[in-house]
Amino acid sequence: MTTPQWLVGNGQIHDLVFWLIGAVGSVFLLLVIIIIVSKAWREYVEEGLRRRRVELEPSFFKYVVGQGPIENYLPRPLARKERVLVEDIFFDLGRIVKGSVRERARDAFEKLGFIEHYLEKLESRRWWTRAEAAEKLGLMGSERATRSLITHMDDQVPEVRVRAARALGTIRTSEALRPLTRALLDPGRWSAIRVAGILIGAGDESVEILLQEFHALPMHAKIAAIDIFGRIRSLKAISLLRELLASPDPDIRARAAFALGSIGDPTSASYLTESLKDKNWAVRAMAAKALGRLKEEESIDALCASLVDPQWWVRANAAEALKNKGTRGVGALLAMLDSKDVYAAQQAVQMLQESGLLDEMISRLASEDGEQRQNALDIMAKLVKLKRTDLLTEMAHTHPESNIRQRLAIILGLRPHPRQTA
Amino acid sequence: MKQNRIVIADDDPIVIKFLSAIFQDEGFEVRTADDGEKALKVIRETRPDLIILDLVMPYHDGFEICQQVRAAALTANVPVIILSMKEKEQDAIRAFEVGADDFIRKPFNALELVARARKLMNDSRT
Repeated sequence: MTTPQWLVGNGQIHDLVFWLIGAVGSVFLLLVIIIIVSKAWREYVEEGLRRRRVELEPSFFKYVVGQGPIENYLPRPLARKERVLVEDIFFDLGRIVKGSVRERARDAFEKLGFIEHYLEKLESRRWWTRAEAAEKLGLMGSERATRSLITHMDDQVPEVRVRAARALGTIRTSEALRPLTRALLDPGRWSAIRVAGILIGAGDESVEILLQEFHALPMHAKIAAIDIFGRIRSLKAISLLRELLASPDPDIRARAAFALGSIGDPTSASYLTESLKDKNWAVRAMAAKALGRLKEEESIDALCASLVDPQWWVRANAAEALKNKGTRGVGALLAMLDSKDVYAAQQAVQMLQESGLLDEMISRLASEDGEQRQNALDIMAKLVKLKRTDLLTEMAHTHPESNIRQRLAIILGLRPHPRQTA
Repeated sequence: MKQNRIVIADDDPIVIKFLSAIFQDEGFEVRTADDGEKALKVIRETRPDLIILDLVMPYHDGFEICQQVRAAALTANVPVIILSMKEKEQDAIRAFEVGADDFIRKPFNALELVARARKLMNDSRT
């Protein structure tokens, strides 16, 4: 095969290749230079901003703990690029401080025109600009943004709606929070979990509004509101929650009981004890769980009675509640080892094991106090009778004290009693 | 008059910068550390009049540092304030168990923190 004429001979092809390599090389070189220069420029700008931030920070720190307006503290009028720095400084501060310092940061945002700037951006045609503006207004926490943010809770873009709602949650005034409680009414447009999260973040302020509007809420919103009361642990909601224990709806009664337990006010014990007799088992189970969270002892007898409830969930929660009731509760669990109800006795064993009392009893097998030793032996005998020997068997092999291992082996029948061998 | 010395240990730079600024304005000599190991070193070197500790820090947490401060004869009586993002009441209880004099949750009220710091220092001197 012969090489075509145009590829050989006159040296033009060599020139072409040479220029081609040169051109590609130049393009690469140019790209490398552009990358290096732009990186250097970016670092230069960032370093400049860092230096300006270090320069500005002390003035802003002095301002937030000081008295006069922001203008008195600025070293010089702010350049346009420095506005980002001011935002960052105040947002960083907003993360760690509250009270008057935060309020002064918010005042500075208003004085320096940040609020107006973002209110304008909130009306942008681009949704991502509106979303960013809503978020920033929320971080700034200015009440002046409330009306616009409420309007944007109906924005056509879900992301903007959510950020507007979050922003209203951080403003926390009743005007800002009321539309959020109304959002609970519209499950098609708003996720109840998301709205509840925002209201929980707003704390006691949202409790006030939910209490005012509670009776007008539909069922699903009432349930969300009850959960919010419990999560915020608001004492203001206690009296409503106690009333709700008598609601005709079992779901409401169960959630009210759970919320009362989360709040943890011991004076709710008598109301929850009454709910242990509720005709609906889920209400009884939640009441037992709630009582386990209260620091009180008046419910112990009622909880013992619940250990023989026909529903296993109620029995399990009652046993767990007794475990949390300190010495008297544990005493009641020990008494339940003699119960004719096998399930109640088994629940008692499990809770005694979880509370660490069985470990303590095993250690008492070597006690020098005869009464303590006999007491421990009696409990071990009950465990054997109930066929709950798992822990005893394990300890018979692994307990660090040899005399306890021996005693456990005798109790379990793994080795003969010394009197029998004699 | 001797300047009051304070050690601020926190791994969040804004906390360090902000608290340093306000305590310096209040006339304190401020030393800082951004992790648990440095905090112990600075405390040993400085023998401060007050220590402000973040609970969660690299190497040693606020509980450990507080325990070591209480165990050392030179710093056993230095007031310690623990600052924490943690919400659990168990953390506050543990802080007091390991010897902290105060437990403040973030976000905190800066002016209240300064007032508490001053009171603790006055109490420790009387």
